[in-house]
Amino acid sequence: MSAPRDVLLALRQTIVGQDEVVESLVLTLVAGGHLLLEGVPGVAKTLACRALAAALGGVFRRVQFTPDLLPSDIIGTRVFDQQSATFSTVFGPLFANIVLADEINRAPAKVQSALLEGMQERRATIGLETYALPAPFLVLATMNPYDAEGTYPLPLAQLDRFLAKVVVAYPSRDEERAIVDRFGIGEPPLPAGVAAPADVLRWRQEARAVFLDPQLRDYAIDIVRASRSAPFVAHGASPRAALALVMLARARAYLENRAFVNPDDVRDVAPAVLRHRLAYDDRIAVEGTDPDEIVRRIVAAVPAP
Amino acid sequence: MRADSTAVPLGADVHLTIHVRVRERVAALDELIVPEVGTMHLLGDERHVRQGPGFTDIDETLTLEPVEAGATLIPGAYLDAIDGRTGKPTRFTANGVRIAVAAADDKAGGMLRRVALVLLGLLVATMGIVLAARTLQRRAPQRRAVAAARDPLPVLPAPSPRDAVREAFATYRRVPSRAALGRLRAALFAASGTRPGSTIRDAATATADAQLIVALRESEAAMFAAPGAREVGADELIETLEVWLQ
Repeated sequence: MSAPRDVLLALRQTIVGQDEVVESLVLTLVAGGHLLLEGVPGVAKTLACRALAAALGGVFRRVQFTPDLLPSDIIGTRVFDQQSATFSTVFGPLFANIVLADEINRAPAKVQSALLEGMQERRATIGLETYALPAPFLVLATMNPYDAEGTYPLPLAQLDRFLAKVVVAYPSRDEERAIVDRFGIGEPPLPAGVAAPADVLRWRQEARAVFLDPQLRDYAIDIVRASRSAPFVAHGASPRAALALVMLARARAYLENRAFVNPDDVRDVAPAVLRHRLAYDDRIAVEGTDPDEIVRRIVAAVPAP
Repeated sequence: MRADSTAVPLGADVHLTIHVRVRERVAALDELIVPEVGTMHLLGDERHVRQGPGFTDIDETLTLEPVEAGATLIPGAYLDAIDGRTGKPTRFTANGVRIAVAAADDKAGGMLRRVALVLLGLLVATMGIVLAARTLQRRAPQRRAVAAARDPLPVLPAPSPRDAVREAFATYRRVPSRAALGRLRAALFAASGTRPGSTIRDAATATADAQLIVALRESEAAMFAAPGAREVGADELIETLEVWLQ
């Protein structure tokens, strides 16, 4: 019987460095949410998602978001069959266990909205029929923070649907050397058959049973509430952030084979939960403050129980 | 810190109240280390938190039962925290309290002693009023001279972090409540050199004492595990600390 740690180790064998990204992928999978990955091109965002999909089996679909994409391109459509003179349903790439939405901010709002509705409701409507999306269903979306020309930034309300956001940084010098050595002679095989979709459903159920002490629940709430009165923050995180925080904290405890959440679980996942849920005021641009630094300060200012 | 009575007969309860005012609104103050209560039995431990505009008053009342006759000096409770005025880690220590315990067969004598104490108190109060009246008649420089001539108040040496853990551990062994466990955890974190509100990761970075980190992990299991599973962590914590404190 496989465990999430098996997937984590398999991903680490494929991805060089990027520990936070790899761990966030597995945590989001276990917590039952969706993950947003932000980074410049070429830092293994897509590879990490493909490696996760390969490790889990199930159905994997990748959609490259472009300005001319239509909602039906991702959800599916009804097609008239001239031979049988009937309409048949063609399911779009949303009907998969893992969907990689590459450069999500390059598609217009109506496409983003269709995807985000599927993420939230876990079902999609084609014509007059509503269909449940497969379980497990995980959306991994990537965004490039630069090249803003011709993009459609996701509104805060839609970003809130992502359980977590990780910033994929440049690798260190040693990691870059390992990347050249490993990938310079061709792409190594992706991990396969590490776990099955049914395992993921079991992990989610078991992670939900991880005990959360009321003091730690309050700690998570205090962190989220602190974001609403923090300097440079115009709009703080919503109550959905507190839910996301405890879900990810439980997943982290489960990943570490612990039956209860500890303060480090909450504190460690807090930046990934908060960073895409805060709206900053104009001073942040004027003073050149790093938004992640603000998130770190918010988390550090709340004492752990 | 004050006691509701500083002279009690053997077997009577005495309530020791520790009052702390924090100049900000806080929900709890787990870092407060209650003192070792000597030969007395700790019967209960009650904490009240009142929040006001910009401050919080915390009153912790220990119910004690004297089990031996004689005088007991209870050292002051203390708190390791960041001083908001200076930004530096500071130990805030309360005054100690001396409690005289009369033997059980000394009830009559105790009554006479109480009457004598009341009379003595009245005499001292009268002398105080006379002295105050005479002092007010003097000139200001003379008042300063009198103040300077007074002996400074004795300052008790601050206990070491390990002593603080020992005290908190002893209290936890007597009354294994969550409040006592919270104070023990605070003492363990202080012993690791971390501030209140830190996590085990901070402590592991701050100290190389592997056994202390083990104790912190076990205290975490005793504090945050599901109610039915906390005892395992608590038992392991006790075993680890018994070794660590030797």
